[in-house]
Amino acid sequence: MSPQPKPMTLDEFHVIFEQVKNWGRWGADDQHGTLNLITPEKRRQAASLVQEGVTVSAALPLATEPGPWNHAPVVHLMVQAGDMEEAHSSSDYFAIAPHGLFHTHLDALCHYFYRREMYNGRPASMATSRGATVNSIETAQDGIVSRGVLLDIPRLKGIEWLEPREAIYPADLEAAEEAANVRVEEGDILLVRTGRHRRLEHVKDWGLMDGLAGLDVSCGPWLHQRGVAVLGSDGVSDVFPSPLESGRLPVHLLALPAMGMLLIDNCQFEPLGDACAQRERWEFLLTIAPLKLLRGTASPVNPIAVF
Amino acid sequence: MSGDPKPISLKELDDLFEQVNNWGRWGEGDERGALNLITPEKRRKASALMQDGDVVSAALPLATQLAPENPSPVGHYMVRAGDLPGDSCADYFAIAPHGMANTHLDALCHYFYHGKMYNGVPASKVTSRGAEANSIEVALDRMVGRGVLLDVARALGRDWLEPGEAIYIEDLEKAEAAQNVRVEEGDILLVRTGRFRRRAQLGGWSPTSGLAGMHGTCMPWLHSRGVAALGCDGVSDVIPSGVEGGGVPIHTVAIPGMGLHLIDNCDLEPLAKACEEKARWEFLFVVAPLKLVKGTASPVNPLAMF
Repeated sequence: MSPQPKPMTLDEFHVIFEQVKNWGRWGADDQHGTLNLITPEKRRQAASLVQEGVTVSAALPLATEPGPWNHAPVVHLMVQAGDMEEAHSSSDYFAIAPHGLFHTHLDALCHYFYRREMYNGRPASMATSRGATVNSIETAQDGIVSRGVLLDIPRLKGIEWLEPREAIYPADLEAAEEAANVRVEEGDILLVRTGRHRRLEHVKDWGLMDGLAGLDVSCGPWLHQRGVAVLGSDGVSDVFPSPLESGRLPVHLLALPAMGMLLIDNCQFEPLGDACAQRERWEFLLTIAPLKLLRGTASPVNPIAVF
Repeated sequence: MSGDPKPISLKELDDLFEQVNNWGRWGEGDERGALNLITPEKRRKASALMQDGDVVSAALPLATQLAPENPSPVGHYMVRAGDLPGDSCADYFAIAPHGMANTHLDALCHYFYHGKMYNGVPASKVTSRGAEANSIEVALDRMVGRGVLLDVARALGRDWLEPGEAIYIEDLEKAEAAQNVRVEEGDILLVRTGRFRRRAQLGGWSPTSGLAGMHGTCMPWLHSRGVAALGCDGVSDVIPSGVEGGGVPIHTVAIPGMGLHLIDNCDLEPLAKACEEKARWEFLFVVAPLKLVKGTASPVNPLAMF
């Protein structure tokens, strides 16, 4: 199997888009998409996975330094500080553009348009210059709590990380399932580790133009069939450069507008991968608490796994 | 009994500080403070409270409109939008988390007492480039445990406490008795004053002119019960506080003295309703602050799970 994805035409892509589309599945007005697959029973079962009471965060620091991955660094300004005369308190101010390639964030369903439409056939024009009036991040404001499953592709292949541009195929996901003795099921939050941040520790001279590992477009129908509720990655789920004729990101397009599946981009899976490997257990309670950003297209998040 | 806050002199405030002081208790370099009381065992037991699979958020929307309680609204700018050419939308948020409008978690560097932060670290460690110690990063994945809501307004048979009305230890214990729950070591305690029910019915007001909350004399009780973190629909402190010269003693004493993380401006209305319906005021509670490097606070969306 080729590590780099095959080029794909827009016509070929459209067939897959139609195949995985969930429009109308949960009603004409639905804005929750695959979050509908997380039932109270699913959450209850997820809580029963807590056996030790140990927590692991999957968030990167919100980076304030610009770099090849971080063209929109977080701005952090101190309003009051302790090195000022007679200070009694400290406070600050943050400016955050959550999207991009370096901040751990949850994409709202409005984030990507396909042929000028969002999830459930809503016109792109409803995501206005004053904010998204449908499919905004508010739809996840009561939190996302379910079973998290980490498929650690490099570890299960016995390597440190996937190389940039390397694609993950359904066969890789299934091999990882088998090695981890876990099966991705309906309502799961699926996390896919590529080893990006381990590689970043070792390879400094690396930017987006060199490529990024991620899921091949053929994983779209697999995610759909398994009933994945939310997909997270230490990259952005997609492979760079994109194999799609237009250069757009096919996994983003299949997840957000077609399936209505929220994505968590740029997770930090190094501590979580280690925690899973130590326990030989790749499932856990996972909580994601997006901020209540009205009409927002994303939220920075701190996903917390509990073992 | 709740009522106008009893005066607290600066000498009494110093005494309160000494009574609740946790400096050195978890080692010299400790920055977690009372969060140390949330043990893995505590978390394990808390997770067993999730029996229905229901989740309730305790966050207000991050308010983008100017209001008496919100002098520095969140800025929200669209970087790309669907009424413009292009195939995606994206945005940008500017957030000053402190104050009385947004649900946020205070880091232990937020208040100084006689020039010192929690564990005796000098205030000067919070520089104009950020907090070098006791920053919000400490709480990253620590705040998973049992949450307990003490619905004081309900226990007193009222829709809400009036602005400036103080809660005393006996009120907290009255709520415990009414709800048949006891606040224990390692709990994340939430105290409801009914602020947002009042706002929904009567409209907003400036909380600096009066806000219900706990009197400073509740601190030794919080300390003896081993509260790990404290949240409120106000800012925990009653305003005005009764402290000589003004001030917010739970902020100025409990944050640096006890090492107590505070969650200010929670929306406890949906949570109070859920608790009442289930006749259960304890739940698995998760607060997931953003990893804001050297930050003094984070906006949060606390989640209660039943």
